[in-house]
Amino acid sequence: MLVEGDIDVRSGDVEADGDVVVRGDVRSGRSVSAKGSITIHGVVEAATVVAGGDVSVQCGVAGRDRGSITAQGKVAVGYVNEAKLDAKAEIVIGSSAMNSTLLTDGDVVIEGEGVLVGGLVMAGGNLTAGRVGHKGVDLWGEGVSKHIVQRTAIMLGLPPTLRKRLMESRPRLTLAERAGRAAARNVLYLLSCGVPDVDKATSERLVFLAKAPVSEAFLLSKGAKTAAALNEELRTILADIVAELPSPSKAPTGTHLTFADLGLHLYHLFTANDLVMEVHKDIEAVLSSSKLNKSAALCVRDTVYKGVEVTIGFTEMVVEQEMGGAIFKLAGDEIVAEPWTEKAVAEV
Amino acid sequence: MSDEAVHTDRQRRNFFRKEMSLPVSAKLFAVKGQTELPAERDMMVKTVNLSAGGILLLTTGKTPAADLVSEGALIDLSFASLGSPLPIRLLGRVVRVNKSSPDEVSLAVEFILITPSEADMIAQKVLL
Repeated sequence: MLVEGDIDVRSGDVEADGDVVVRGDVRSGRSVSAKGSITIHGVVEAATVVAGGDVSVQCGVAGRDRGSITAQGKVAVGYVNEAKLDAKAEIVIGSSAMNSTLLTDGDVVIEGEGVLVGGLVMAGGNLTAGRVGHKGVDLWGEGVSKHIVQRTAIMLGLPPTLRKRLMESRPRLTLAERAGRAAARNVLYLLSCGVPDVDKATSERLVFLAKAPVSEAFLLSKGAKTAAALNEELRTILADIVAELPSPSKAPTGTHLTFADLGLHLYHLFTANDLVMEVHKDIEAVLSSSKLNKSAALCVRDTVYKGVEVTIGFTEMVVEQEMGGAIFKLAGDEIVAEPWTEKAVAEV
Repeated sequence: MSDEAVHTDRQRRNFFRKEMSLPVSAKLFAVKGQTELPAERDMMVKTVNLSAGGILLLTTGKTPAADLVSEGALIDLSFASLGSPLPIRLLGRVVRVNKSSPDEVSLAVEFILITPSEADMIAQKVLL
């Protein structure tokens, strides 16, 4: 499909089965989607472009924090300001990327002056640029404290979907562990007060189970099989307790109330343990993923400014002072910077 | 209807229920008289209606776990879309099983272990 002019209010949004070529711009608020590739000769404003193939924007993208380009193939743009580029294959930018989010399973290459200022890069492969970061703006005059520095965060070596999964899993794990500890405390308190209809042997076993709620530390020391077996034992005890509970429509009173409370807290302990095991398994799957690329590198030809945050694999560092051209690579457990040379870049 | 039947009917319908299609995952938790359960306990279900007291589910496929469900069985239900950071998990007891066809079984489940705040979240979902 060929669109001779702009995609704007008059033309309306475009949706095509094959490829799309737009000779003009894609204006704010509009969308272009195609099962094939999309080529835009002009500028993409705060618009949405989605392609099953590649996307090429010959001028650039001025997204005003609302524009986005998503491609199952490669994304190539002249420049990008305040927009999101998401490409399965790779991202190539003609001159500069400012305050944007760049996501790709492959490499990111910023050609020409190669400026990367602000924003977030998450790539499974390498990032190649000319200048990364920003000196900062001295608000109160030369030498006076307080610079405003735009945060530039670079995460390489893991596809964005896996990295986001990991970043979401950590807080979930913490919440689940906390819920488990709270439930365990309640169970221990009730048992210490004495719960009618719970025999001594069961009570002792429940105390044992409640004293060690499943946590990441538990899983690393005792293993997932032990944790699963103990939680399975908790399930069978809980099933017996719940079997004795009347229907909630007949509100429990007296001794049954404590019994019901014990059941509730045991259930919370069971579900917290379950969630910790599930999230931990997910984290382990990401950490041992074959898609982890420990040889990913950040290659900066001219300057890297102070404050740039670099993560390669799972190792993080922050650039502590401005430096000239450098190649950042993972060496063991740390990220090291070696001088930029064409030969070193070719070897990456 | 006799007084007993009215009373029973009222007990069955203590809470306002609403027809809705709410994403829920269900796992078999316990079956009367069975200590060991199959390793695979997930059940394929969809919600028919929901109240603060219980849920009506329809199984949508045959699984080893679904074959074992009977009255009195306990089901571990997980609701991800009730607005909390972690999914809400509730333990329910099957009070009625209706086999409408060989592949579709409806399960009336009452929530047996539920905190007041969880009941509030469900009531909000139902009433709003």
